Amino acid sequence: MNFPKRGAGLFLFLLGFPVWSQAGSFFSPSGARSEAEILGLKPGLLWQAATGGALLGAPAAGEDGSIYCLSEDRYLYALDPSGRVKWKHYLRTLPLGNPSVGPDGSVYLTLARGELAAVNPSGQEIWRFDLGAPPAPGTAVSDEGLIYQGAQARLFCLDNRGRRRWQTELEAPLSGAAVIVPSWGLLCPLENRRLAALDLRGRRRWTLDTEGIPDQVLPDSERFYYSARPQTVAAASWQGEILWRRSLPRPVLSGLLLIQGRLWFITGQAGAGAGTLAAGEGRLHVVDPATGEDLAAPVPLTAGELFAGPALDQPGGGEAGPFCLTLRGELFRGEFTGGGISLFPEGLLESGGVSGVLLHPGGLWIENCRDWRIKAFALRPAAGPDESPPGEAAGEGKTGLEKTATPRWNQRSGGPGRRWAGEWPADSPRIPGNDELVLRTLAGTNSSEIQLEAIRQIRRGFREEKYGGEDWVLEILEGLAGEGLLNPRRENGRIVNDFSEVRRAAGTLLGEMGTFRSLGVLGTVLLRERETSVRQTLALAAARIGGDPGGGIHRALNRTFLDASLEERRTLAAAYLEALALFARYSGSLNPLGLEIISEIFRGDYSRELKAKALSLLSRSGA
Amino acid sequence: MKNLRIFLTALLVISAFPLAAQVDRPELESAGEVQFQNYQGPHSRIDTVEEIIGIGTILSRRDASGEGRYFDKYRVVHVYDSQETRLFSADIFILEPNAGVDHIDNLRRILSGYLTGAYGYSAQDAAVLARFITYYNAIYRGNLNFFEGRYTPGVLSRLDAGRVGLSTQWSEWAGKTQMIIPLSRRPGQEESRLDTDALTSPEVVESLRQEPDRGLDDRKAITEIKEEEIQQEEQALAQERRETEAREAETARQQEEIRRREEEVTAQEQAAQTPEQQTEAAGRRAQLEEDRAELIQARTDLAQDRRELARREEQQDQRLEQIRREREQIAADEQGILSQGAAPSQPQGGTPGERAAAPFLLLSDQADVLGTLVMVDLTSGEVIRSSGLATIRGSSYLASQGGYLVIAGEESGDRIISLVRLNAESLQIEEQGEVSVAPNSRLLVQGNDIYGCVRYQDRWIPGRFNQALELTGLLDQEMAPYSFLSLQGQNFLFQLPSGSVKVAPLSEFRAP
Repeated sequence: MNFPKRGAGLFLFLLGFPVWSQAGSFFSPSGARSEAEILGLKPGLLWQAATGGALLGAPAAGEDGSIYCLSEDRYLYALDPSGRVKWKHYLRTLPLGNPSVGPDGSVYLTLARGELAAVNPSGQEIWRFDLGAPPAPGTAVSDEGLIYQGAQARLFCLDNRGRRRWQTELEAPLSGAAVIVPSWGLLCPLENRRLAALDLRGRRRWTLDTEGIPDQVLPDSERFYYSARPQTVAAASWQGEILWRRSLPRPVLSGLLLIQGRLWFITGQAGAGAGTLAAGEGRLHVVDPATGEDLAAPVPLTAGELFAGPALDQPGGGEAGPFCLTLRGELFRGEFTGGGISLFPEGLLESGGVSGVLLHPGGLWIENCRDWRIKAFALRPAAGPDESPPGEAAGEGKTGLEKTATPRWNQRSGGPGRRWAGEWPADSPRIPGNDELVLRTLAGTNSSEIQLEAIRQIRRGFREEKYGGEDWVLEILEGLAGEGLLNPRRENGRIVNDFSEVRRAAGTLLGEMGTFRSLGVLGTVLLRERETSVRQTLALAAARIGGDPGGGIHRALNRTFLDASLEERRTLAAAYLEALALFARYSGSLNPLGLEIISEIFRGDYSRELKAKALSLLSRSGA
Repeated sequence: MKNLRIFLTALLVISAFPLAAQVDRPELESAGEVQFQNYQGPHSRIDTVEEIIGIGTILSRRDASGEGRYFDKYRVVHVYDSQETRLFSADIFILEPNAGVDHIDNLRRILSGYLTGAYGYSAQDAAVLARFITYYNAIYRGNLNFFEGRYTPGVLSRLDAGRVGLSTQWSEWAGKTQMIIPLSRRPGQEESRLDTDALTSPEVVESLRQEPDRGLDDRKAITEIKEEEIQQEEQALAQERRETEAREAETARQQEEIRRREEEVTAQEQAAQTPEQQTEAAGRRAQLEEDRAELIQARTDLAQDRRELARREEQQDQRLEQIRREREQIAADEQGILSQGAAPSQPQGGTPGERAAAPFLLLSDQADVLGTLVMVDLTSGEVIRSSGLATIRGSSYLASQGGYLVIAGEESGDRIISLVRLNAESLQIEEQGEVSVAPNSRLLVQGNDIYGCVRYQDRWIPGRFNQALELTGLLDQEMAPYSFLSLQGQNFLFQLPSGSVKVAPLSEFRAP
């Protein structure tokens, strides 16, 4: 069945429910009446998994499709898309909020006792960080593996190893999740009716009065939007100037969504029960993001269950994805698609309610339910589960829903704490500070002594928490880690900057300071490095970063080890084994390329100590 | 394998909770599903739910001696020893001989009213706890050995083997019930609290697990209550830990201060030349010693509080571990049901329409013959369905208005013997009268009218009912309650107590 496209207006696809009869003009701004199409889509319950307690917050998904859920039984559950529990990890302390998944597959979660914990993809806890206060809602994780977590009026930046990069005092406690804007900074809603913009080092850029307690922030390329309690929606520039602000007749009850360049949200009065909408009060708004004006009269919504709180809630935000709402007494799960909106009548109200939802890339709708169960529904044609299993590439039988582009929802975060995946905001060119100018100058000389001094200064600054994970610091270090190999300077045909001691020192410091972004440089240098001792250092440095998203370092280790002479391998073996053990600790398993190295050491002509170590690693991996 | 699992579970729970110790394996294995048999039949007066809960509320207003009473029907004795840490105290909930409760739902409503009034539970939590109190007391009914060694002597001295616990038969409740509500000391405080761990003993849990749905809803509900208790205690412990640390810091500061003053006073004593100086030094020395003694006392108190805190933290850890296991067992049981891909097992058999079946009255072999209407498979004789009404009188029933008309009930308390109509499909009560009918009365149906023998002003007289089983007419003439009844044209024929037959025109029936 093909997804029908009619004109420029948004199309609505329903199961024969004339829900939108009042909304014709709204869906076709030109005034033409839009048509309700029957797609025959129906969500079928695929599986349920029982846990030992009410599920908390929203589920999150890993890159491999794993589903992570927190339960009141104090376990973190990992399930595969078929509903099988892969593992569960006992946290002992009650978890709060939603789990967030990092780029290396590590799962981050907060605990009621005021801690942030990291669990590797195999279910082993790798660290716990004491926040010293109850955690703010939402954990944000960047592509580099940096974790931003609020605790009352303090914002922490940790690296993937659980080490604090920096912390900063905010004017007031966070009222919502901090939002990462890549290479720009962070937007932090605060309880004191202000919104603080920070740079990536946690320094204040500006602060904005929000005329209400801000609770959610949605970045866009030219501006960002926020809602503030009780009933304000506004847009502001990246310089912190209000572009428009609307005081609404009713509070915003939903998330803010950008769909096809329009801003969507639901307003209303909460009903008597939790997560319910008072009779006659709900309105679905679609707004011009440039002016804040309604594009058409807001669509009235029927009273009833709002389903997990927000009536229009899309994990992670973006331009497509799932939501839920009630219309005319019918509960719907729905999805914003490339062509409009699809609604799926549920017909079955969860008795205990739902604490959060997730649209899984495999075509599943995952619900965390308060009746102690995780439930998965297949978003598929009503024809039945046999025709189009979830996640399977559909051919002729593709529905409009399946044909839509992959939703841009945030896999790193199962709800709040979202990381924006859009284009970077336009910002004025950054003016380097004195430190940067000095260090870049030192690093750019042809003297290894001076370059080593630059590395010493960076190390000192890092230890004193003067430097965190600033891009420019890492750039300098990454440049020095490849000194002479990635930027050879020749004089009289001879490379004059082949400073292995600089590469070694910079690589070592990158192992401490670096983030996942540094792995690319370390891998490349590892492949090009000729000195075995520097290779040892670089292998260990990369491993100390703690993860290997994409597996580039493992490829480099594998190649540099197996292609080396036996003598070189004997020299490299100890460091490589240590590096692989470190990687295994963070990921919870051994990479197959790493296994090859370990097997070679175990089988080959190496010392008894090395063989014993290899055997120990092999046994731990179950090989 | 199943027994082994049960045993291991019990063993784990016991090891984590000393008070629940001493459960032997045969006792655990004997735990079966608790099924309460309620009175089903007419009542002369039906209390509202609020009125029934109100009984519990009144009971929760205990007097100075710790007793709460509701007329001569219900009584609660609060037996609490705040110094006892090992044995349970209890509220003993007594159903006196005049107690009228005859349905487990109503007994639970009274209990929940009591729990709300006495311990401040929400209505929802109180309802859950009331269910567990009834399970607990049904399982340990008459088992004084179980209560000995678990409850304080004060509690045990009030218990009677013939009454302790709760029978599963409603007819054995009034005058024969002492329900135990286990109490322990609220952590860190003097007052009592209901001990939810005791209520979920391995036998109680195992009994619930015997139910078709494995008692999941109840087990989940009480786990949520326990979780709330655990979280409250966690918060309290965290607060006390912070306070203890602050006190430690303060005593360390005071100790340093005293050390400094010691040096000063010693120097002053050594330097004192004149009597005035010596007196002043002595005064400072005395003050110093007084402060030192206070500090020592403060440190002693602190050490004791730390020990107490450590003990409570250890208890909390044990409790956390126990609840983790309980949650895991619930999850495993639920997953088992989900894996079967079907709802809990349903009663065997279909509706009478699906299988050739006929109603049959099963009678008890007792002096006071009572019957139960059942539906019997005509091929196998198997009982397909049974009415919950087990007090049918007169060894007969009449098919009427798509149902079955019977005389049923008991003459005690608010309960009466009256007309009852059972649904032809479900055999459950559809209508019931509110006027006493002679237990052995014949019934005569004519059109929409039903004739029988009713009690009126302590006499048995002919009565007429409509199909809603409302009394519509009375004939003012005493009759033999066992009389045959006949209608001949417009005349009603019945037997007088003297033995003679009376012919009365129907027009003589008067509205009641």
